[in-house]
Amino acid sequence: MSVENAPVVDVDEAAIPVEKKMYYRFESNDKKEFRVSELAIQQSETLNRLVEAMGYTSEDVENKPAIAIENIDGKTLKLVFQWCEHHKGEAIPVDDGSVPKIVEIPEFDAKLMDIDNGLLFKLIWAADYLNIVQLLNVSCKKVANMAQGKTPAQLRRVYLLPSDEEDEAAKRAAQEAQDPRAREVEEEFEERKRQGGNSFF
Amino acid sequence: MMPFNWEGLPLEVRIKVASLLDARERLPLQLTSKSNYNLVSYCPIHLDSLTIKPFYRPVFCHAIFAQIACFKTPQNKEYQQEHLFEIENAPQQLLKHSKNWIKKLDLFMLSDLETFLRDLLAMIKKEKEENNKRIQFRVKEVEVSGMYQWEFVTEFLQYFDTNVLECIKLRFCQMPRDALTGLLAVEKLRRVPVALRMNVVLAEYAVEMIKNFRAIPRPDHTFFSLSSSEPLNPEIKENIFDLLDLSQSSRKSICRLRKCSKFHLNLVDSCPVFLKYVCIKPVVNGNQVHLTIGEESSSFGYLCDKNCDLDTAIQDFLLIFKHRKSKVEHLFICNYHHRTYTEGINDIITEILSGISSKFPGDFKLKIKKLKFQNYTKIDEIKFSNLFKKLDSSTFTFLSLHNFSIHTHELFEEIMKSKQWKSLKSVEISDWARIPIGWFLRTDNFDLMYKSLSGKDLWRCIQKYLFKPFPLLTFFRISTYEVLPLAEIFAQFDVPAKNEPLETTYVNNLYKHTQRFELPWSKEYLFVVRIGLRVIKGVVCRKTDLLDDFDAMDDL
Repeated sequence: MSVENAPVVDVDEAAIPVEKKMYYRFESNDKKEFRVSELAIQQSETLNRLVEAMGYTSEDVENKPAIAIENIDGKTLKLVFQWCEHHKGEAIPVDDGSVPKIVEIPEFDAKLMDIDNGLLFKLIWAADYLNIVQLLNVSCKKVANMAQGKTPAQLRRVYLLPSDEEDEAAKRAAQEAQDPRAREVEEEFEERKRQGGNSFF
Repeated sequence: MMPFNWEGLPLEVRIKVASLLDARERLPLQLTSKSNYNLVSYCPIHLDSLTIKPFYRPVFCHAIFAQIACFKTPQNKEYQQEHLFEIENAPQQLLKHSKNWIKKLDLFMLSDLETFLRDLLAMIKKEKEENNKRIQFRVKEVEVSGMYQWEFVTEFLQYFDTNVLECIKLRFCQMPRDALTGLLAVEKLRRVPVALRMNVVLAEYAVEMIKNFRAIPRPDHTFFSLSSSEPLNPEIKENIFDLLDLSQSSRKSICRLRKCSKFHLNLVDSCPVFLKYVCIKPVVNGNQVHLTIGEESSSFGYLCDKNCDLDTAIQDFLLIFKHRKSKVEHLFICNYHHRTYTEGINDIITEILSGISSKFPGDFKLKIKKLKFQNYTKIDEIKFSNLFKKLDSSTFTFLSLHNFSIHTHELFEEIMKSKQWKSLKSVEISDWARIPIGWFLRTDNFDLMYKSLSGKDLWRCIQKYLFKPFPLLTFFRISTYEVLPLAEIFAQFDVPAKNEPLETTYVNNLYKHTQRFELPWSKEYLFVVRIGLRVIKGVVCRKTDLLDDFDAMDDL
């Protein structure tokens, strides 16, 4: 996709100081390109460090290839950058470990996160990966809200939670997959047991 | 709804989500699997209070301890979780809470306090040595009570985060001077107000305490309270006050809570007092009365005097009102010894009335917000009515009569004409009322008992809330001896009777019908009426929190 055709996230021009008016280009893993203001990027610790390390000038931004974000798709990245643009310039909350954690979901964020659970899952992953603290807070709050008033059985359905037995089975499967010899040993053990042996060794 | 892939989230994110759940919501998630149980248990939580105290059972009286954790939901509803464990596990239980935030930690250990604290301190040190883990309890207020032990308290308190800790309360029978001086001298704790309550001390001890408090600057609200088994002689009292070197106005404020004691009248005058709770009750041996001033439902009042004769108790009580701005939030007059002392309540009322007429002639009014009576014998209705009229109508809002035999209409006819009745917001009567329901309809909240009520009368109760704005949680409840006439009530409804229970899972045959009335005066509220076999209750609830609001007052 060319620079001209890249989707541009709505930007409040007045809010950006003149000297900081620089837009970076990012590319999702499905080759969708986004132009994001420098101020909005500051909401993401990961991206902020990345662009600082790159030290791009305005010309570099236009002439060099877009910065690839390889494990986030275009649909998710669009939401992430919309959120960053809307909250640009806002202070980044610091987690002091205090409880209860009080997180309010602003109206804009609530509308932005009015999406299916699959996309919400990807959004949380992206917020965590890009280290966008407040986006992670509100998206986690959204997931926490899904648990309100639910019984354990309902929670299993809502969160797709495995039972203890399923957990154990998954653990065993993972172990076996990691170590094929373990499966052979297990089979040998079962075989000896069937033959009437009391002890494996 | 499409499921959400919880297990696919990074562990830190799952912890973050669990931390955002309140304590009540965490439990269902904990119960889904072992891994989620561990995950949720790892997340810190905010507790309103945590109490660790002995829990006596006939056989294992020293072996069992109870931990009661109390927390509030976002709807401000209080929940308690109780957990029993063996004494040797008590330190471990408390240690588990080192990552939580606790508003009030209450350790009531009696003679086991020493063992408990010794083991706890050993565990804290072990954590530091073996795991390099620094334990800091994040507690806003800590109260330690014990009969004899104190050695480890100073050390224990140093493991509290003083950025969070706002108050230390220590309640001991005895604490040697050196130990106390040592505690008060701890640099780290100097910024935290300390409240000390001790019994069986010598007057000299008190003098030393004052010297200590004066020598080291301490935060506001730091105080000590010492009581002695021997009465302090006037000379020592004079010495103490001289030592305090306080201005006259400061002395007044120091003595505010002792206003009711006639022994200190010379130190008490015009400061108003605002007391939460005052209880007057006759004691078992007849002519004596117990006067308690303090926090509601607490056995430890600010002033919990020995039993005294009725005259003294009422004189002390009336001294509260010596300043015209003084106010009592809740006055409770009760008589649990009605068999031996049938006239208990009547005598108290008589004494109050005669005290008022001799001490406060003219148009004196008692500033009492809530008045509660508990009586088991016949009340002198004229005297009651006279006392009722002595209440300040701009303050008085709540009347509660329990086991209060009302034999005539005259009493209510009389008091209903008064300004005091008109200012009432809530009435609670737990005795078969023999007066028309219409008499109570002008108060916002009412909780009554009737032998029986017609559908028409019950509809009037409901209708009252439908057309005029009322605050959230305004309610009525009526219990009846006879079964409620359900069909008769439905016949009065101006909307179709539609049973819409608040709970989807909880079935109780006592609940016959739940009707949700739309309110023309609010888009946010509904008036929910639940009708049982012999009880009907209606509450103004938020549409978004129907069940919590409905149960906010109490269960049907």
